[in-house]
Amino acid sequence: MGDARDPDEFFDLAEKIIQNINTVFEKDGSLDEFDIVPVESQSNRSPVIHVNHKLALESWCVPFLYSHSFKCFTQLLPNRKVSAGNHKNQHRNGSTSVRNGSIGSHEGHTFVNSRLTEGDRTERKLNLSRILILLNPDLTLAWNYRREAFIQCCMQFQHELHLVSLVASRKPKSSEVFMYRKWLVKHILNEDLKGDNIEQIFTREMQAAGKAAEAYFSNYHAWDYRRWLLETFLGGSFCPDEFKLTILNSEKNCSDNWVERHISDHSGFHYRQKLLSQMSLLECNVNGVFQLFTKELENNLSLVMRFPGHEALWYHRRFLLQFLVPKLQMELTENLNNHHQPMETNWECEVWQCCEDKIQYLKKKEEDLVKSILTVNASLVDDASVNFITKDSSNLSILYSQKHAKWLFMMFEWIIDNN
Amino acid sequence: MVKLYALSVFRRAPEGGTVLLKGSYDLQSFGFFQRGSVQEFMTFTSQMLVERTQPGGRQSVKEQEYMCHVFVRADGLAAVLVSDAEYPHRVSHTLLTKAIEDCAAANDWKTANTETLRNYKALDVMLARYQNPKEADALTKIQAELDETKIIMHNTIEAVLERGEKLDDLVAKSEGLSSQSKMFYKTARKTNSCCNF
Repeated sequence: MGDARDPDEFFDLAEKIIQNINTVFEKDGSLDEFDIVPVESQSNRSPVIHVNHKLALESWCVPFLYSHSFKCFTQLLPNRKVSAGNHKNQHRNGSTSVRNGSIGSHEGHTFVNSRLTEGDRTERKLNLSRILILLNPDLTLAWNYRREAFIQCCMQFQHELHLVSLVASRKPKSSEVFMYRKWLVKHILNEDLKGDNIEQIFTREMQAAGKAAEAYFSNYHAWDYRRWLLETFLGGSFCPDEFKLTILNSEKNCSDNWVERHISDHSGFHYRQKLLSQMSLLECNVNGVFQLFTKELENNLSLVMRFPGHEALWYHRRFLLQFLVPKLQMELTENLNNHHQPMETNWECEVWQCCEDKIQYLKKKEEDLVKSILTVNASLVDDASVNFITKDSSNLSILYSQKHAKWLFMMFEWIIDNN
Repeated sequence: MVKLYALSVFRRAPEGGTVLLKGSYDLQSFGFFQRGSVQEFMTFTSQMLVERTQPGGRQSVKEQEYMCHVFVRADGLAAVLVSDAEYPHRVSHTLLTKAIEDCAAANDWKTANTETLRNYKALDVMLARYQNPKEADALTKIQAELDETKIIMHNTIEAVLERGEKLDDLVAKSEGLSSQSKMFYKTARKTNSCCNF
């Protein structure tokens, strides 16, 4: 804010806005979106906009609202060194003016702070930290205060999660948001929980992570949080076994839909890989794993064909092969080691033959893929009736399939002709 | 992300001037307070592109992570599709042809306007259905005759403008954009340009 305002007016206005925001939070328990709307000149009305369970601030008020809230907030924190020296001075001045009974209005915020009772102080700190994290979710100081207050049982779990979601609606890729969420959920999981509650928490958290991932491309923090949730719930003794199955199924469905629409979002694919690894643990033999993964390889194949030139798809394919092939090879060597003498029964022969067949099958599939990508795209590159965007993606496809062939050789020593 | 944001149909009058006939939008992925401005900008850009495309011509313009595809039929009926850059552009152009054919078959487009086409829902249905490009695969196969070389490609919106024209001026002059949208545009400009001095 460039204009030189009178400090009094500044102070009053900021306090009024804070008041307005608090009222909105008191009135409306189901706010689901926060934003800052660019508005150049300030009119006489309040910069707080509240429609349809959405909250917004007009951009002109943000700079001084933030610095005012920050000042007031840091002064309320006990035994903390405030970086700017003048805060300390102001504090001293403030307390003298209270003693003298004459209140200098430009030290007003110190005065307001010192007049509060302990309960009021906590409430004010919570309100101020709420505004601070809405405006700047990277301020760890404010989040940490809320953590302390949560431990002292000043807030409700639900309300906190709600606030975090609100912050994430404007800044979906803030790491602090997800760290705090994780902290809250960990905290609540340590307490005794009943079955319904577990399911409720899980579904809601998954939705929150999904929303953030949708809002920002390759949202690492959101996907990492989701992975953490998955592993915590699947590995935790608090979670009943039948619910673990439900989790895996619903997450698989969710991820199926996701990859169809987000073909170059590697964070989303990484989550899918974790999910597939978890699902493979449920399969009792290598056959089941083989089926699960060949199905996934088929899906990946159709995406590679449909969307040429997207590297994330090829990396996903690498993961699938790198997971599956060593498993088959291990099975093979185990069978060999167990039988130093020539195999006697038919059944043993069959198992051995079966694994060998599967590896050959996979190799054949990769060969076909690389070959067909190369032929299809080579003809597109030479085609005069094709424009340069198609040519670009074709060239990328050729590059990726050649890289893939090279990788297959390095990994499994499969020789694939790629010229 | 593979996504369609807006599909709209325009009429280019022979005497000049371009009229929006029908627009349909899917803006759920934008924030509530931005949706209005985003929609205004998509319409503004679409109209601008229609005005700068030869009758019978096709153009595709990339702007950040968005793509705008335009098709103006020789008789002046035009369609514009705004999609994500990952949406297959061949499918997009096929959709434009289909949208124009549909609209011409269902309405008397030469006299129509947004009012008379209020109940024309085919564009909304199309926008929703082809969010998944798998749906459009069959469509692409039927219309294999699309000649890609005739599509003129641009890497930014500015590349479409005529000599001496500036996007900032066009935005400032536009009547279709509210003051709030213009403010959004200015802020976005400032934010995007902070790295290049």
